[in-house]
Amino acid sequence: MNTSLKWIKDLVPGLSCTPQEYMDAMTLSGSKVEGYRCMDADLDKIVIGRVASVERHPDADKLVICQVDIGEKTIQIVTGAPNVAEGAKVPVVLDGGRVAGGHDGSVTPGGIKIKKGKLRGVESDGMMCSIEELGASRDMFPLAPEDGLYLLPEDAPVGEDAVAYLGLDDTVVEYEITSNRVDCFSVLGLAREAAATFGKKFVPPTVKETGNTERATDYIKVTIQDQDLCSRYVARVVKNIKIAPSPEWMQRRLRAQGIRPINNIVDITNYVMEEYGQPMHAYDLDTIEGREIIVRRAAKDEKFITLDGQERVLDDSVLMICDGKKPVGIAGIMGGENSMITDSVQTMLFEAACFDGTNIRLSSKKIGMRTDASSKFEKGLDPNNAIDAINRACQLIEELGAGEVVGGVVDVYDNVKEGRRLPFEPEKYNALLGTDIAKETMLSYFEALDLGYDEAANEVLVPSFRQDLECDADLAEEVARFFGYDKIPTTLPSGEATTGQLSFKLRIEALAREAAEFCGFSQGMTYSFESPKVFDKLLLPEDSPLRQAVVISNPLGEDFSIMRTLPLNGMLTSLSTNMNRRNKNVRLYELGNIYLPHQIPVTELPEERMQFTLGMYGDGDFYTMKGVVEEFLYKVGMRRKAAYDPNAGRPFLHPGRQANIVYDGDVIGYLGEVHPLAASKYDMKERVYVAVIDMPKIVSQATFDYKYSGIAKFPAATRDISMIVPKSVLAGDIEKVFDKKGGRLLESYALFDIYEGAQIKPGYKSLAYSLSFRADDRNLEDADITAAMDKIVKALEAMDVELRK
Amino acid sequence: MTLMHVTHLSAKREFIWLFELGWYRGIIRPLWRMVPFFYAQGRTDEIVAHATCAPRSEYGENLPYSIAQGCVRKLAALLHAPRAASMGKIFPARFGNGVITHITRMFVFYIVEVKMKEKLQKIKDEAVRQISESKDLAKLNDVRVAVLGKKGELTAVLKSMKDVSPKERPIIGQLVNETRESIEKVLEETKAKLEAAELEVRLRHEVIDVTLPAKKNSLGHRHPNTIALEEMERIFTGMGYEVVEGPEVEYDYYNFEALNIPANHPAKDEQDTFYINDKIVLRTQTSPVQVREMEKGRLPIRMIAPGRVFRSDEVDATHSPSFHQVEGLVIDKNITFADLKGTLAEFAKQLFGADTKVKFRPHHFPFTEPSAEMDVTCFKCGGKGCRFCKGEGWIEILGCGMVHPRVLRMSGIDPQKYSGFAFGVGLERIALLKYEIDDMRLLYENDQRFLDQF
Repeated sequence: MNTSLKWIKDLVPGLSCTPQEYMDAMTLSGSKVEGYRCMDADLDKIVIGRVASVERHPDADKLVICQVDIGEKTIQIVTGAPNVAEGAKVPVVLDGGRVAGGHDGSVTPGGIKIKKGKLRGVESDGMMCSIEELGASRDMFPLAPEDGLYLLPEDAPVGEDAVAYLGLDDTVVEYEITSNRVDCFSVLGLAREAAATFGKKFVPPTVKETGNTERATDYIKVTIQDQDLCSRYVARVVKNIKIAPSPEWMQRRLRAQGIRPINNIVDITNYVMEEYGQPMHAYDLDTIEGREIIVRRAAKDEKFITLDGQERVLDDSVLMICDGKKPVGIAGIMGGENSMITDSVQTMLFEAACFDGTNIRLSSKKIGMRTDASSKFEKGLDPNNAIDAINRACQLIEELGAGEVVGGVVDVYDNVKEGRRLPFEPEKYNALLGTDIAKETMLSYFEALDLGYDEAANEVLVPSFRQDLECDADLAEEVARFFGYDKIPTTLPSGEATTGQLSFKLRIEALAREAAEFCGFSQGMTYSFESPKVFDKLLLPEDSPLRQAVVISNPLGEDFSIMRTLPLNGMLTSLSTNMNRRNKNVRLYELGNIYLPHQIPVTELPEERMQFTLGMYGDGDFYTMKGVVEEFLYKVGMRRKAAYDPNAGRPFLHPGRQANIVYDGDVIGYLGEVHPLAASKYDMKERVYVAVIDMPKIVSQATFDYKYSGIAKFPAATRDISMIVPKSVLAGDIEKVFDKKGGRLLESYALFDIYEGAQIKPGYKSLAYSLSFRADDRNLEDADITAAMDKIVKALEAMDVELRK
Repeated sequence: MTLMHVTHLSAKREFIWLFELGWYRGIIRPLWRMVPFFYAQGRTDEIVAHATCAPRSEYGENLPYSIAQGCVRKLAALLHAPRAASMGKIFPARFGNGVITHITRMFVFYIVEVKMKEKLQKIKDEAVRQISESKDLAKLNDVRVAVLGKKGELTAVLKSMKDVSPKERPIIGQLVNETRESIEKVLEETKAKLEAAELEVRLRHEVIDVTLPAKKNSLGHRHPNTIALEEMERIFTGMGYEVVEGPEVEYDYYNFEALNIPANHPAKDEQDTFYINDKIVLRTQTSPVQVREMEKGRLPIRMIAPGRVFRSDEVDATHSPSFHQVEGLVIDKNITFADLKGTLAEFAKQLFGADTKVKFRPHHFPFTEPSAEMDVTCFKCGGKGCRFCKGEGWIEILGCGMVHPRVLRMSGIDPQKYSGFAFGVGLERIALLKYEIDDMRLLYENDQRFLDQF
């Protein structure tokens, strides 16, 4: 919403403030001013001049020498403007003045200084201006020529300030109005706020029901069939229309509002829409068949041509304005081509109605057409405003001599909207705000806002245009706004102490971040929604349950249309981005949810499972990733040995380089090298490793309950064991034997050599472990260790393992 | 004249003095008389030989105790053997041949002691010379082995002690030990000096160029969103707030209706909601967590709820269809708008610096009344106005307000008894502002070169 500051000041006569003061004060009282623009910021010393004579320039074909009367004297100006003529009245910038830009519409910040000078040897004491040089445009000044000087009307007073004459001495204020303040989408509403903000008197225009002695009811009959969508329909009739330009003062205000002046009838409609926030529509009454208006829903698939010439297909949720035979307009959105006002119009039907905001909003979305009118209606207007607006418009028609207003009003308004009564509870407002404001002060704020007070009932009378005021909290806000948010004290809540803490889950996630970062992984974030094509990229079979995803019904496009069921796409996409940008040795992790539906179609919330996803390429391999997983598990207190099951069956991972991570018999995640086919779908040619840990499983097993187990007092004894093992036997199988057969004395073991190749028979590999034995309470003797070793060796030999001496 | 000579001359003189005493002339047997001569000639070996084989009883008669003692003392002084003086005291009161024998043996022993002293002095002098000539620790060690080692000279002396009578052994032993100690002392001093010198040389050779590049441990980096979030969590948990979470795919009821946004409310369109179906949406705000927390009925409430939210905005430099909010909620008796102001002012100070000022502007949210937006003084220019804050000096940070009584009622809380405030902060907004990131897309691209900067 924009307003002219001059217009506001006209409605609040006592208001005197700079635009900046206005902006600051209005923002603090709740009408947020986004910014303002002084239209004359770069204009200086510009007066109205009259071209007294035009002579040819002796040395230039395209230049002429003009003597220009600027009131107290006549000055000489050399110009190349094509439309200069004797007797023309033009804006003239004098020596030392400034204009806003060039005549091509280019804007120079700070303006362009104009100085006396010589043009091809001839003295020129100033410059005559085009509308662009004045910082305006032909859009707002439709009469301005495409190329040339802006010609002022005949009656423009010579020597006066041209900027003021053109209404460019105004400031355009831009507001951000919140959706609850429908009344502030109008100049009057904002002027009322300004008056209350600055403590000045608000003087709205006096509106009278004008008109001749005829009766509008004789011209038109109105029926509302769908009252749920149209609470009020007011119609008036104007005859003997004389289409002409509107007066300068009206054009100035419209321009400042950003509305292009067209003709008196259109301008009056727009003017009142700005002033009252009430959109109106004018029909050519002669096109209205049956002299009646029927407000009803459209038929399904009804076709209608709007006044922009477009054919629209409607359905039965859209409200139409119809005459006795046909639709003549889409209610609240746009009129029809068949009933529009033309230059030859004789009699006009003026409509000011109140339509259901939601319906207008949905209809305008459905039709794909949002107009100035619909954007006002969709906020839900006050039906009581309609009558004032239409009477104001008719009054202006009379004042401007644009036609003859027929007396009387056709007003269909069955359920009159009453104002609200709210109990006046000053102590409650103070209690909510933490203030100590006197009730008289509060009442003075209310009065400034046109809220009445019934002292007998101790009730606040809320007018219907303040539909947002419904309860004590709303009134407290009105008090706060005008008391000043900045004057409300600053305290901290007292009361019962509470424990500030992170949940156990969040603490585990923090540890995951620490572990990952310690291992060189940086945190990434990716979207939760992705394309269903991801499942193919990840080589999931058609019947994979992971393809059962929560689908977004109105996505931003297919690429964002399903909620991810596994976290790898984001990770692989990010790694691919890095690889394409030639970043080396990239390691990323992400903590994010996957969304697993309980059923398809979705009828309840899906299960959201936090996934700890790690991905890397460059230095490192499968075992590096495995190391990260183990660091993390240790960090969250999961210190028993995790098992790695190579039969993980993840199609997106290398079949020979993947494993499920099994802790206490439970699969808590998986890791592996990305399948080269999957990697290539992400344009990655290097080996890529990923690990995914299912955090709910971690949260249920993690613990911070560590116990110190002492530092060994007695020395350890080590034995190395070297063996030839069939390739099919995994190191994990060998280690299981150690775990099982090593007994209490086997403290730890470590693989220190693995070899396959020339010296080893085919199908076998060589493994060498160092086993460390220790007792808590004594020095070990050879016999102890030998007994344990014998058991291990025996069990190994049963597995076709051959010991190397 | 060497010390040796002096000693010899004075020894001779004293012996002569002893002989002049006359009355004990008879005591001294010819063999015994030879002692001074042997001594004078440095033939101490022979004295030892005589002494050790001297017959016990044939040396004469009684000698008055005082004389015997005097002799011993005299001799002791003569031979620079202070211990001998004290030994004089152990003479028994009765005198006899045994005593004489004893005295004799004492004399002889002193001679041995002298000889030993000389020998040790020689060893010591030689050792000191060699030590002082040692230029490095290895050489020094050679000297140590040669003198003090198992096959060293001093050890050899100690070994020869088996020839000394058991009574005298400790005295000789002590002498040897004293020598050993004094050699060791010199050795240690020299060793320390050599070590210090060697260390100095080593340090001088180990000078490095400290401006060469570092060997980096490649620690990972945290996402700027998380850094900002952890900062906020720290501030609010410090004020007694619990950090809670709620579902990202949420019922329409929690996301809208329970927050006073009924069906067809324009706010629903404003927020450009992603729908799963007409009952389930991707939450457009973290506010539904408020409702879920209030429904639990545990009062008072002080919570923040960070999390992912979704709005149907096309991706560009300032928009993302998925971003994060941090919701805050306090419900208790007597909570006021003033408390809201105080809490958020404190938050802003902790997040942006102690000089940060805040400004509350009236605003509208369906679920709070009164509502406000909070601006903070631009942390770049401190409020003077700069390009960063578009000349305004203030930057909009969050929306907040007193929880709408209708919202309280819908969640089963009596607005007559309880009141509260709520606020919502855009996490990305804070991160973008705080770290001066100019394009929101960077937050979701995960380019390592971007992440490395945090």
